[in-house]
Amino acid sequence: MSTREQLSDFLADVERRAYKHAMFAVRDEHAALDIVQDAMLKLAERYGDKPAEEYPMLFHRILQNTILDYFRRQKVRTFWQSLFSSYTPQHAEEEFDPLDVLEDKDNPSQPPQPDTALNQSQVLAAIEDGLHRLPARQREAFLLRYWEQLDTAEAAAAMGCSEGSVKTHCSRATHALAAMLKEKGIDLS
Amino acid sequence: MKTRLQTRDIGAMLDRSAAQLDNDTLDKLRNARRVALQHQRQQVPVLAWLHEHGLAHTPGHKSHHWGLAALFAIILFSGIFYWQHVYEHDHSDIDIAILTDDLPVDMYVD
Repeated sequence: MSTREQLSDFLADVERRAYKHAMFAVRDEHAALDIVQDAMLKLAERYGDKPAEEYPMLFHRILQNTILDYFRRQKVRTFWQSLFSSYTPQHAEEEFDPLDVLEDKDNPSQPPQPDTALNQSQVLAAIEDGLHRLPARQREAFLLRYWEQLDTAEAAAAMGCSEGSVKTHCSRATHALAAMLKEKGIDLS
Repeated sequence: MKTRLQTRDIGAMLDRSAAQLDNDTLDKLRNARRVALQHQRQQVPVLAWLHEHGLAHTPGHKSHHWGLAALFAIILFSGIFYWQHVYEHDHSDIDIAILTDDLPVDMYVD
C-alpha cells in the first residue's frame, strides 16, 4: 500500500508532463492547470490507498477523462454562447481581415522552407504543434508509449482499450506526425 | 540540410520542454499537489494490518473479499454473543435482587 510520500513523489514526478499532456489537448494554460489539479485531486481522493505501481495507469486514465469532461463542458458552453450571440452585434470590436493570414508563397519573408536546417526550439515547436493536431486517441497512445514509457499493456489499461488498439493508434500517430514534420523539413524515423 | 529524428528523441525533447516551465506554472502545480495530498484517501487500519501480515492481497482480488467477509462475520457474531451475555446477566441480577428483597424502588416506576 502506498504512503503519502509515495503519492507525493509520484505527483511531483508526473505533474510537469501531465500539464504538457493537458496543454497539447486544450491549448489553454489556465484550463490545463485546472485539469491537472482535478486529476491529482481525484487520484488522491479515490485511489490514494492503492499500490504506488498502479498510479501511472490510474492517473493517466483520470487525466484523459478530465480532458474529455473539459471538452464536453466547452461544447455546452459554446452552444449557449452561440445561441445568445445571435442577439448581439457581430464583429463589434475586431474586424477579421482574411488578407492578414493569407499565405504568400512569393514573399521571401516566409517561415523557413523544408530544406533549411532547423534549430532545436523550432523542432520542438513543430513537434508540439504536430502533437496538438493529432486526433486525441492517437496523441494519447503516442505520448503514453513514447513519453511516459508505458508498455502496450499498461497504455491499454490507461486508455481503457485493447493492446491492439494502442498499437494501431501509435502506428497512425507516428505516420501522421512524420508527415506533418516532413512538411517542416524534419525526418521522423 | 534536413533534421532527422527518431521516436525516442521526441520523448527527450518533450522532457526538455517540460523542464522549462515557468515558475508561476510550477508554483501552481506544486500547490495543486499539496491540495491533492491533503485529500489522500487513507486505508482502513484493519485492512492495512491484513496487508502487512499477508492476509489480504491487492484490492479486487478474491481473497481480499473473503477476508472482508470473514472479518464482518467475526464482528457480527461477537456483537450477538456480547449482547446475549449482557442481556442474561441483567436478568440474573434482577432475579437475585427479587429473592433477596433488595430490588430498588425505581424498578417499579415505569
